[in-house]
Amino acid sequence: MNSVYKPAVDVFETDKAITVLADLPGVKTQDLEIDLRDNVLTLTARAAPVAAEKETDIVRELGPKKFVRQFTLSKGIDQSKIEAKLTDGVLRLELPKVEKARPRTITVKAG
Amino acid sequence: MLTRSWPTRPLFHPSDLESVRRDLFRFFDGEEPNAFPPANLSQDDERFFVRAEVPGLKPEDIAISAEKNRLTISGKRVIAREGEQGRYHRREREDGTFTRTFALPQPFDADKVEASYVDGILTVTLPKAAEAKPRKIAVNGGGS
Repeated sequence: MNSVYKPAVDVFETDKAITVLADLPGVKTQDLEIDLRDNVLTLTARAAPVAAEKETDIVRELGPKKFVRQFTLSKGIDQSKIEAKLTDGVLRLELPKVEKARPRTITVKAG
Repeated sequence: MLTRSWPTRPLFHPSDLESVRRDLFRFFDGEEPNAFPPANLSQDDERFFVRAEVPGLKPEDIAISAEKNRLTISGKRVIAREGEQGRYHRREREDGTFTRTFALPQPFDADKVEASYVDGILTVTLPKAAEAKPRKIAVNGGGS
């Protein structure tokens, strides 16, 4: 039986990129799916508690988990440059903005 | 203070009844229902295992102490601000300190306790004390 969890996230935005951090304890890279389409970002991950073959439970608070979280992003994410890194159960997702979506400062030269 | 997150699930979905029952009974048994970190305690013939969910820590920020049949894990999660420029749309991940003590059903060898930290899961392995290990008793056949 999988319980569905909404992982805790931090979302940070600068002029150049959106950074998403998500707590995904017990998730391995191959069990994480990141999907971005029509500006909707979906994170899906699974975690199963590890246990040796002959172990028996005494107290069991953690079972198999499914993590699901969805966000609608502003337009202009450069999909080819998205980077994801999973470290110690925390996902770090860098979503760079496309060049033209970045605000620019235009210097006006004196004529 | 770190708190535990609960599954987002519809109330009274039939497949959830078992976990609802478990949560209720844990409460009535006197366990702190919001204890952090959530953990499993299991055993085989030789060892006890405690596995706890503590994502995003550094191994040096976790402290483990063991005495008699009690194991205490404590730690500190530090979340640095992302940058000077920019703004947060969401800030749900909590930082802070935690401590949880587990009472094991039988004594263990505190000198041989080992711990590892993989994918945000802390695993503590506690070899059972000699007197706690199950023993096989041979049954002698009578007569002949």
